[in-house]
Amino acid sequence: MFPHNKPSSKEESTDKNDTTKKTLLPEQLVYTIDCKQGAVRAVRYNFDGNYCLTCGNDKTIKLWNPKKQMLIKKYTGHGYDVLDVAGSNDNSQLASCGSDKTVIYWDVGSGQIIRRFRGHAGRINCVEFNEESTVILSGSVDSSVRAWDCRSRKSSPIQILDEAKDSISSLQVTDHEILTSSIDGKVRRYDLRVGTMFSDFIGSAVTSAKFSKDGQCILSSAHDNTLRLLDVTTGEMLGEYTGHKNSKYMIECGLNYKDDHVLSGSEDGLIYIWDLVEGTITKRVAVRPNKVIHSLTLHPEENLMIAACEDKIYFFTDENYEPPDDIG
Amino acid sequence: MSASSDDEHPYVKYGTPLEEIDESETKPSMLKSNVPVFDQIVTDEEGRRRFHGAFTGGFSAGYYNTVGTKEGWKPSTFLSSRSNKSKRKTFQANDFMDDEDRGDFGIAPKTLSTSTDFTSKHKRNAIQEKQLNIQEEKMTLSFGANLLDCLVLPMRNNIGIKMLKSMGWKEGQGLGPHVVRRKKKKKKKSASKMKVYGCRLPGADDPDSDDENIPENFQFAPKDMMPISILHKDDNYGIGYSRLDPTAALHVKEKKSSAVKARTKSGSKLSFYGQAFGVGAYEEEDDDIYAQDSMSNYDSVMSIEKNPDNTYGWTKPLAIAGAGHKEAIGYGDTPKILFVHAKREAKLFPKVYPPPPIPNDFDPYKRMKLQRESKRIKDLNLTTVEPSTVLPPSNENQPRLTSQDREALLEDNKSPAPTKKAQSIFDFISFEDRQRMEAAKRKPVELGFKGDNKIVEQPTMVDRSKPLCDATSLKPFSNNPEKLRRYEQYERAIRQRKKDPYSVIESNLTEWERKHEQHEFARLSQVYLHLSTNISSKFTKASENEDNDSVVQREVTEPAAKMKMFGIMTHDSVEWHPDPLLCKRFNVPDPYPNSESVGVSKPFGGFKILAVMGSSSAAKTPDAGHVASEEDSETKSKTGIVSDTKCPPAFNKSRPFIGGRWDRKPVFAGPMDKPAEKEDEKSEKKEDTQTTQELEEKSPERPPMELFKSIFASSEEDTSSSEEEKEDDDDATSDQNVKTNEQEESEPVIKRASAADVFMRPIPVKENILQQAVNDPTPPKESEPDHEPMEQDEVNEQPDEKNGSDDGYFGPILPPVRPASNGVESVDRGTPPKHDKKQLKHKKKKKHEHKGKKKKKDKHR
Repeated sequence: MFPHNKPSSKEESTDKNDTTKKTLLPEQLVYTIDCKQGAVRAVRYNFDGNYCLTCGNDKTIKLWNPKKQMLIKKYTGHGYDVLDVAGSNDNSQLASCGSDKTVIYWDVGSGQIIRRFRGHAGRINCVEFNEESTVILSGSVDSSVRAWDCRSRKSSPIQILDEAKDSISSLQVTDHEILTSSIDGKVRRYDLRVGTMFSDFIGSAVTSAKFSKDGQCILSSAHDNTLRLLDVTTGEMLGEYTGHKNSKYMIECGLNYKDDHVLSGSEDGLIYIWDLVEGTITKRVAVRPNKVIHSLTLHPEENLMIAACEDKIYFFTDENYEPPDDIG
Repeated sequence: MSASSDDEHPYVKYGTPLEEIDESETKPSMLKSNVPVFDQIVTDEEGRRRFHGAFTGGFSAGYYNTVGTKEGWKPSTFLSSRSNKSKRKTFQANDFMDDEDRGDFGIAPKTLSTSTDFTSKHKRNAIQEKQLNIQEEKMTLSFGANLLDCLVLPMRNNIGIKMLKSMGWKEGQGLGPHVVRRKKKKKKKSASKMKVYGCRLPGADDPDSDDENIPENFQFAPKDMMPISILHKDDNYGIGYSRLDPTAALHVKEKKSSAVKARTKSGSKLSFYGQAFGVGAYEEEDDDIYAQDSMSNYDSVMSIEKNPDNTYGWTKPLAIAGAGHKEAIGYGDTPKILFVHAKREAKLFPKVYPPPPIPNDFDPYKRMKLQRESKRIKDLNLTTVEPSTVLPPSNENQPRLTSQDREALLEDNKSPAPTKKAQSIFDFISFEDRQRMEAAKRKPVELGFKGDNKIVEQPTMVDRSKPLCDATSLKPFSNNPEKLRRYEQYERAIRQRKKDPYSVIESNLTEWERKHEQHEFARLSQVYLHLSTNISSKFTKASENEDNDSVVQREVTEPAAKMKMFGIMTHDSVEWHPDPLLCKRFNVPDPYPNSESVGVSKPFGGFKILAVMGSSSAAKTPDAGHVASEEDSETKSKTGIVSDTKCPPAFNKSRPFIGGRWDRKPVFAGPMDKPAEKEDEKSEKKEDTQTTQELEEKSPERPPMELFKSIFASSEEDTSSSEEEKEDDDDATSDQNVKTNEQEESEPVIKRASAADVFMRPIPVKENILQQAVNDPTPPKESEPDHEPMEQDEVNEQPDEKNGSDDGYFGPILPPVRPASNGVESVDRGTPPKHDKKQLKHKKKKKHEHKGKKKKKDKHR
């Protein structure tokens, strides 16, 4: 029942036809970890979903084994809050950014700082590796996205994407695209292959934008309490998801691993899950009443979700989830 | 003790008397005792020579000061066989020790001895140490009172300690039951100062407490307390008073370190501390044996520094610093004459250089005079003032000009001459002189200028309408247009990442000048590029003349987004040049291999004509568009079905490994087909459409919609306009899919109605594009080559789109079931309300199912 391996398209299609079968959602709270690093600014699964990273208010990053609920390592070196972190595809490096306007390139094993990239004029909100983990992209309050080269010793960025008119709120990088969302109400997609920047005007400040797994849709979450699913190529709206509360904070959204449900944190202490096609709320998961669930990350291949609220992170899974044997 | 039997001496003797020394015997013994120093040998119990002297190797060692054993030094051989592998031998200090070292007084005695616990030397902990120190101090003050107590230490612990130890007490711990350590109090002050982003936490304020490592409920022994040492007060001083420390008087308190100090070549100080050699590893560290006692440790002067005022009745030697020039104390030749006042002044004053001599003709009141003069001129209202009275005319050739002439030349008629006031010194300078000054000012700047006095140019009037400091004028060499041009060229070359940016600049400068300029530019460009990138990101112009883009955004995109008409209105694309290095790192071929710029170059028009024209919005650039059309044809030829024309070909290519994830199905997968729900919605939508029809006329938002439509329609082809409208219908219906608000639902319907109005007068496409091109910032040259292949595409894809347009939702266009006829389409358009309802029925259907439905519908007709 629980898909441990990558679901092929065939599997998915059989799922679709089987209407009686309920799609499993990460709605069961399994456990909670108190990260003890102040407010958890962001929680992220690593590339393969075996580890997770939390960024704290206390200038540290913590690496966890979510299955064993074990703290593996603590990374210190930032001067202010850490706001985002990303793991490289070989799990050997981390990139993190924060209020100290620097992007730090870490060695995972030793916890040493490999490089420190300075250049942003403001707080850096988001950071991502490219697919080969040779470039770090960082989006900042100074309304620019900077691409930093991990391979050379150059201190200046390879390129500055300063098309946004306001701060960059989120960033996603695929093999040839860079997706940015900005407070100026636009979602921008830089296609390196085509050499074109596509922008979609949403209207209100966009706090998070995510590609669907197939790369054909963009899920964007905006400050008008609405999530929108846009077609990548035409910019048409394929779906609209409302009901949650998002008008103040940077709240992240996501699609589950099967791409059939939309998830988002909310300012009322719930996690909302919508059906992607119908746009109806399938589930409201209560986490912590009247608190803001600002960050959530979804496992790339399993029905797992981690949400961050204040100083704790919450692990969710579906009802069929069996904890691994080697727990504890 | 025995008294001598002899009564020679009257006094009692104690002890045994020394034997009388025989003269005969003394000789050899005297000889023996007279062994010279170098022959005196100390031997150990076996008769081996004990000491060798400092320079021959120290103590006796080995076998009679040879190496090893009686046989001599036996080298150990390395032996290793398969059965008996040699182990790696690790040497220990014991291997190199002699018997002596293992003896009673050696380094590693092997004999039994009392352990440190039972000797008086046992280790004391810090607190005991402190206590003892206090006692000692006290003792030194009260000589000898408790000296015995200090010297005589108990051999074993007293019974109290023994009992405590048996109860589990350890030295260094306090007494009492174990306790749970209390957590540190939160530092509320520091927490409040901290900046906190996002949501505030209750427990977020102690970021660096070490307590988190300690498990809860872990018990600790209480902390040891320092026992109060009750000391005997045996003096009459006040409480807390202590006398002078006698030890302080005896010792030099601050020993000067014996560090060797040196300076490296670079000038940084080096100093070596500690003892370099001479003290063995096992020896106790000596006092600083290399310490040098210097005279500075001693008081050489009798307390002059300490109490300089106290001169003890002596004539105070005046100012030690100036002692040189007054012979304070007589030495040498005149020892008897003390403290004689100096007869001559000392020469130690620094040499004073007098100020430069003022020339005789210098007039410090010249300026005043000048002013007075000007006043006089003003008062007299003189019309003709000879400039030569103020400044002598330098050029005899020049004709003298009157003020009127000057006025005429300067075209300065605005202010009447009588009221004109002398504003600056330049008013008194003759016109030709001013001309020359102007020329001189421009001379170093203007390279083409020839310093010919005869050519008197008209001075260019300053344009006072312009502000003095413009943002654009913040450029280097703004006073030298030629150089500025060269600099701009240079900057452009840098932006294009040319290897030798200066080489592109053409100028008629000499080699040296060029070199000089290149250097200058290189430095300048660093500063200016930095400024432009960093500063410009922080500031924005207060009033930016609105470009087409922002107008479009304000007038079209924003209302469109508000009305949830996402799509062409809100979607925009701009040519963007990625950095070649970024492409390399992303493993993507550079889309503009010959491009010289990086980043967004030119914005395409507010509306993407091409996006409307062609299905592929990705096909913006000529080559990309080419690829797109190629791919489309490829897929067609292979499968016979046009798959997903709206999807740019780049996607299909880009991620082959994800495979199935790339087709659109999973996005729309899921419980789309629920018959019961469908029925419900049918009825719902019927109502909706009725209400929207009613609302149609009342809507206040009609004008902007018309605007969209007009722009929208103008960029359409004749044939595709109908099709587009159909798509709009689709938009509307699918929007309704999502919407819950009734008011919102009404809007798309309105849109359609207004669109029909606009379409009354269709405009031919070609013209339109040209018009658009004129309006657009992009030159028509660019848009037209793009346009051609697109049109082809359009033709190819038309039937597909028509099939797709019947579809209930946006997304990808479905593969054609059968070629649809245009006639049907036009009929559809002609009867909007009826068709609408029909269409609405089909809203929520899955693709394949939808096909079936469509067939049925066709049959109905």
